[in-house]
Amino acid sequence: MCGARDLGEALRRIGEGAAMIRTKGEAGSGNIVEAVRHARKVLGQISHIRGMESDELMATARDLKAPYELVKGIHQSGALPVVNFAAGGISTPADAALMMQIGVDGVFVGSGIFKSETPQVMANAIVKATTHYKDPEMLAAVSKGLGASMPGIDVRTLPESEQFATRGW
Amino acid sequence: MAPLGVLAIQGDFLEHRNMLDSIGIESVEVRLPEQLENIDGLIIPGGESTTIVQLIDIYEMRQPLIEKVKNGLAVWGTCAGMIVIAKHLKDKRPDPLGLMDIEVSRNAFGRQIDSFETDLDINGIDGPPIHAIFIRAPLVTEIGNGVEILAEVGDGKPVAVKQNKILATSFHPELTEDPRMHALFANIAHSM
Repeated sequence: MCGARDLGEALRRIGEGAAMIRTKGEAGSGNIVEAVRHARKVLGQISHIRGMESDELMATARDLKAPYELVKGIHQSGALPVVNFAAGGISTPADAALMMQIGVDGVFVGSGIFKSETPQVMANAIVKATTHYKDPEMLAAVSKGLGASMPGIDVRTLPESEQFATRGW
Repeated sequence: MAPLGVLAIQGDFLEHRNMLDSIGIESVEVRLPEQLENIDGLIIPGGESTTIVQLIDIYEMRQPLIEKVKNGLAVWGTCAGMIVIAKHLKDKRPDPLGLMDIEVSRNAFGRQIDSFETDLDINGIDGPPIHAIFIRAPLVTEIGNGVEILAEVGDGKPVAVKQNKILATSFHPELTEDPRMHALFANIAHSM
């Protein structure tokens, strides 16, 4: 399982054997912006490959620095060959539903639950919002009476040395 | 003919829907009690049985589902789904729905490292054996009257059973490329 910010990173990790991919987001920030950015990037690159002519795939694999066979697989299936979930900054039921609507297979929430005012209530609501992400009435209902979510951090105010999204590279 | 429902609150419901799609059988995702209306059958997928049962109760689907099955709704449980529909479990949890007169043992083959694949002859399916994937699979340990054993592994361990319009398999046909189990269930569900 590995964090990815774009499709090249995701496919290299899958090529190395990762059984799940998380789009990276900005862990511990309570700010959904980076998670949205990374998920849109990965999914946008997938639909771009899906629409290509097959003779463009080798050059695309080269540009992404990704295994050719995996790029070919995406051209055929339109999806990663493993589960792709969003993480890093999800702190409300609306955040979770947003990520599901963008097109990830699931969400992972850590501090968004544990740093909220009432973690158990928040956890229940986020589970429901993820399951019923296409159901606006359910989303409105589960978003009521949650207490305060974790305080969000504007990622732009974090010095680069404190950002997780740039670590490990 | 109504579509088949796939319980979509936890587990590999997407794989079941893709398999049904591949043989042209219409399906819908079921997440709330009212979505149990206007379906001919319900697949309860593989996943985590305690979580699935908890969510069935949170969304108040237990009684409506039991009623629907009494009135002829077909149900197929794969892996965790087999645990969910059992009458009794060897373990204390979860509290199963009791849709089928079987006793089930969870993780009966051992831990994750003991997961395995094998080829099975299944009563009611013609042609070559079915490739069966067992992932921390459950096992039927006792069957009641009217429960028919469709397939066994080893020395008589039942891994596919049927009672009227209820089907249960320890393994995951939705993870293979072979749609014959899904076709079998669709036939059961769409029959009067």
